[in-house]
Amino acid sequence: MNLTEELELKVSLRDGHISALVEKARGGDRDAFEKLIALHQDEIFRLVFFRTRSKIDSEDLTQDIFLSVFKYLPQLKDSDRFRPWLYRIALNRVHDFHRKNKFLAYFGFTESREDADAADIEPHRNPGALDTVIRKEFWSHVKRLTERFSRMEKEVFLLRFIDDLNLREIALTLHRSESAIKTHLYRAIRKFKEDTTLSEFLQGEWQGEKDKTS
Amino acid sequence: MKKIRHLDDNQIVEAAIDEIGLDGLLRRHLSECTACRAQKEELQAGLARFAEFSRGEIPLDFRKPKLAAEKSGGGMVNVWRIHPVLSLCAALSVLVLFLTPIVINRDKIFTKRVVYREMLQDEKFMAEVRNLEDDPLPGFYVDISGPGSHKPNVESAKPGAKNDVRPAPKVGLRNA
Repeated sequence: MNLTEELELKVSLRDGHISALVEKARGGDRDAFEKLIALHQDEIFRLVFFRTRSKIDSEDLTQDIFLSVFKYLPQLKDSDRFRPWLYRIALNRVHDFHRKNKFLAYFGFTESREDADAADIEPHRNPGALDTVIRKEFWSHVKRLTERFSRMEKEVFLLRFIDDLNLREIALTLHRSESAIKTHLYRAIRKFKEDTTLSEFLQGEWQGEKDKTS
Repeated sequence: MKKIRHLDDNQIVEAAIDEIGLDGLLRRHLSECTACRAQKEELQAGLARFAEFSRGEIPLDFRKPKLAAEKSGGGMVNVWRIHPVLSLCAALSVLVLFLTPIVINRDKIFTKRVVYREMLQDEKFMAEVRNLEDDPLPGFYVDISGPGSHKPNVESAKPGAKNDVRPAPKVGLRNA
């Protein structure tokens, strides 16, 4: 499926159509499942990449996630809740990955990726020296910010602003009430607001991009 | 009409999360007050910039997930299920064919071992025979082996002599 076809599919299959696809996929329709993959692969890869910061690991995990989805899809009771259910599986797989990595790192078999700083992130988009420095700085800001978050605050913050889930979807994904999600998000945003260096960095970068385009 | 103060920091954060969830008066104030609105929009813009920058970091050329191809060989599985006796016979034949050379080889190895052990014993026995041929019996045994075969050696016939293998008679204190 090429990019134009994917975009057309995304436009034509918004909202209620996804439920219909889920129903078909539950019935064993492989085409419907492949369409579901095409619709959600970018956002799931994004979710995984932001939490692992490794392209190869993210590719493998994304593949695993969709295999799990295919395996357990018949167990999904409400097809309207497909997206939170998918995110739940993805988050669980990412947590398993970190747990396994920590265990291996403890015995010196591998390096723990959860606390990896910017230097460990693979270059992919902007190979220029300046861009590399900017990216490193950005990731060090993100690392410092997320270290101040509790685990739940971090999860809710990322799901809201990186993965673009609404409050209801986050609540369903994390099996919490909406008010609990609001509380975690409130605390996380307050910490974000207090981090003036990150705000200044983002403001500067944004201004720089604006100057470049003009 | 009750005049409300500007929204504080916490209320601005609350408004950025969920404006509809705000108290009615606060919401009305937020819609009218440009200063409070600007504060809220500034916070939302900061969060949007963070999200935008973060998303710019995600690689676009990643390997797309694929569904595994449908398993071929389903027909074979059905054959096993339909003819269980036939499949059992086939499995046993394969097992026999597989095990036969192992059993035969095992016998061969066993026979080889026995022969080798016997050869070793034979060699040992022959070595003893050769040893006896090379080293004849001591003189004393030669002397007593047959009367008149040759003159007895008087020296060696004495008990306790140099070549005599017989034990010397004990000399008691009483005789001394």
